[in-house]
Amino acid sequence: MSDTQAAQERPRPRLFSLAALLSLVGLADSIYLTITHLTGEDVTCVASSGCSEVLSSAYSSVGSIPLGAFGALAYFAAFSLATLAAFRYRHARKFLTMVVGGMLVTTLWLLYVQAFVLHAFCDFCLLSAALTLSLSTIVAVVHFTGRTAAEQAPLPES
Amino acid sequence: MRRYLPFAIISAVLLIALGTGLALFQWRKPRSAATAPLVPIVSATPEPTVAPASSIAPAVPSSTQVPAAEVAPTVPAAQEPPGTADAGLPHFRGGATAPVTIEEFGDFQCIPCGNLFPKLKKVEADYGERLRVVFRHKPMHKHEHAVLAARAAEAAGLQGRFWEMHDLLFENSGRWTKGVDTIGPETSPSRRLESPLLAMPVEVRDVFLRYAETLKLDVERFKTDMDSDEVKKRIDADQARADSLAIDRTPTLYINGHLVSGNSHRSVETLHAAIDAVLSGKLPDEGASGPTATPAQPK
Repeated sequence: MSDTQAAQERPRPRLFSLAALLSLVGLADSIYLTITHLTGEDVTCVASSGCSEVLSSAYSSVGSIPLGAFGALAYFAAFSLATLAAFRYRHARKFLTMVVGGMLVTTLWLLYVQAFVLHAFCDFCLLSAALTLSLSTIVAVVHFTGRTAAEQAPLPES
Repeated sequence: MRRYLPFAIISAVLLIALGTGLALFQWRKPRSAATAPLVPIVSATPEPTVAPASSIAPAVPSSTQVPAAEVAPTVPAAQEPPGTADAGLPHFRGGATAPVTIEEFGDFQCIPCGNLFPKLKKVEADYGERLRVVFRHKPMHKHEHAVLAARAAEAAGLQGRFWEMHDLLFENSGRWTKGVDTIGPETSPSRRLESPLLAMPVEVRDVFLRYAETLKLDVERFKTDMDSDEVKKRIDADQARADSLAIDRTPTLYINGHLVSGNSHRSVETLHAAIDAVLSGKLPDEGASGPTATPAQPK
C-alpha cells in the first residue's frame, strides 16, 4: 500500500470527536436560545448589542416554533452522526455531511439576515455560526482528504 | 459491547439535553403571579385640553378617548390573589365597560414591547369596544432611557395625550434609543456620531420635547411635568404593582387578570385566541402556548 493510499484510508476519529464536541456546544447554545424564546426573556448580549433585535424579530421563529429548537435538533443530529462516524459506523459520515451542509446554508442565510435585514448581531447566533462553520470545515477536510477507513471498516464487534 | 457504546453516549446526551432544557425552562420562566386582581379602573388620562386628534401629525395614530371615571368590572374579592390592587390611576383605552381587559406592563425601550405594540393595536382595532387595554410602566433598569420615556408619556398624560405619546414612543423607539432624533420615515435621520454616552439622556430628552411639540402640547409645562413628583408617583405606583406581582420582564400581559405566556402574545392570532378563550369562558393558563378556544370573529 502506498503512502498516499494509507493517508486516504486513515480513520478520522479525532476529527469526528471534535465535531461531536462542537455539536454539543451548539446544542447547549440552541437550548438556551429556545428556552429564552419560550419564556419571553430579554437576552442581553455581551460582545454585541443586538440580541433583543435579533431574537425578538420575525426571523427568530417559524410559526410558533423558535428557530433555536430547529438548531437544537440539527446540533443533536450532528452530534449523533459525528459520534457514530467516530465509531466507524457505515454511512454516518455521509449523513453528517448532509446535515452540516444544511446547517451551513441556514447559517449563511441567518448571517445575511442579521447583517443586511436587521442590521444587528447577537452573540449567541454568532457563536452558533462559528460552530457551524467549524463543523463544515471538519466535514470538508474529511471529505476532500479522501475516503476514511471508517466506511470500509466492518462494524465494531461487541 | 463497543458496538453499543455510541448509542449509549447519544442516549445519555439526549437525556441530559432534555433534562437541562426542562430545568432551565422551569428556572427561567416568568415568576409573575399567575393571576392579578382586576381592579376598578379609573383613567389617569384626563380629557384632552389641547388640539384635537385630527390636528396631530400623520405619524401619530388616533386613539380612543375613554371617558374618565368609568369603572371596570371586578372579579369577586374571594378570587383575588395577593397583589397591589390599587396602583394609582392607570391609563386605559378601549371599551370602558369591555368584557375583556388586557393589562400590559411595558417599557418603552424594550424591543419586544415595541414588537408587541402594532399587534396590540391591531387587536384593539379588531375588538373595538369589547376590549380595554391598560398600560402600566415597568421600566427595566438595564434600559437607560426607559424611565425618562415613561416620564414623557406621563407628562403628556397630564395634558390628556398619554396614549398619543405612548404610540409615538413605541413607533419611534428604534430611532430615539439610538440617538436618532427625527420622527417618521420620510425625514432623513441625523444619527448622533460623536456625543459621549453621558450626553445621551439630554439628547433623548430633546427628542421627547420634539414629540411634545408634534403633539401640540404645552412644551414648557411638559418639561416641568416630566420632572414633577406627580409623574414620578404615577410611575412608582405602576412599578409597585408590577413588583407585587413579581414581574421581572417586559412585556408582561394579563388578560382579565390571568397571566398570558410569552408565546401567546407573539402574534395577532395568538392574542385573538387568548382573548377569545376569555370571552368563551376558557381562561388561558400560565405557560400555555395558546388557548384552545375557537377563534371568534373580531368586528
